[in-house]
Amino acid sequence: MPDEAFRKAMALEYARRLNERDVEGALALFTDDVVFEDPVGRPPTIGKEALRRHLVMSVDNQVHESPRVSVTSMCGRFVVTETRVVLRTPAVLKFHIIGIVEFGEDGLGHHVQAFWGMTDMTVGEGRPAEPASRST
Amino acid sequence: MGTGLTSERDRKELALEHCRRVNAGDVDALLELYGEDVVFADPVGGDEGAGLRALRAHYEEAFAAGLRVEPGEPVAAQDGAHTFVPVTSVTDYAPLGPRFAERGWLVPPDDPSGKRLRRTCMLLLRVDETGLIREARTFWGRSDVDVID
Repeated sequence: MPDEAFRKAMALEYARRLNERDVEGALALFTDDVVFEDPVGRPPTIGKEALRRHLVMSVDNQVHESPRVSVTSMCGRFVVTETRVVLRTPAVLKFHIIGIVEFGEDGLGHHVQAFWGMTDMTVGEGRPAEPASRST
Repeated sequence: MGTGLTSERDRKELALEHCRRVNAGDVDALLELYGEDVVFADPVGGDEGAGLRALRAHYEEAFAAGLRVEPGEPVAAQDGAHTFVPVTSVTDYAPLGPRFAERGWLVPPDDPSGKRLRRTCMLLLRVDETGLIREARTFWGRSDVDVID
């Protein structure tokens, strides 16, 4: 299984490639039958072709990902990353996301779960509201 | 992983309340947040357990070691069931540190006296429709634990 440094580097590399609009480079980090839940609770994107469409839409919306802290697990399978994501078209949308990537022995991402809710998204340039003031 | 009906705000508040009760060191109050058949892992891929009795033993040991936690800002999934919160935890070095060292999870200090353990974690909680925690998974690896003064 990929070691912890590899897994943390993958999380950063995914953000770097997406920020550079390198969709094919970002796709290369995942297996052909990847399951991509973004967000968790909605129907997943399954397979690389579907993920390509998802990522193309993201870069068309000028996505910018700013990963913060990444942690791992003792089983060699996971990296978990807290990330701030901004989309700039058609409006400025900001997201606070904690995502899990599950790896296979091939070092590729097999399953992605992006945890964010309606209360983790803001429209416009303002900072996301504090949890206590949210109404959802 | 099941689904529930709790609101995002309630789940985020639950995650923060969980951290407050940990810092209060009151294991009975903490366990009130859990369902009887809870399953937990701390860390994921390491120690796993099930049931309130096992969870009580887990936290009683941590509280005896002076566990303190500092939560970050939680997020909530759109499945009605999950919340995820970054947490930094600190305990005395003993008794957990020597056990972690035996398992190869950290390099023991030359002199452990006065040392503490700091872990950078992500705590994933799954709650049921009544708002009780049914699953708690704490993610951290070898590169997320430090021995500090």
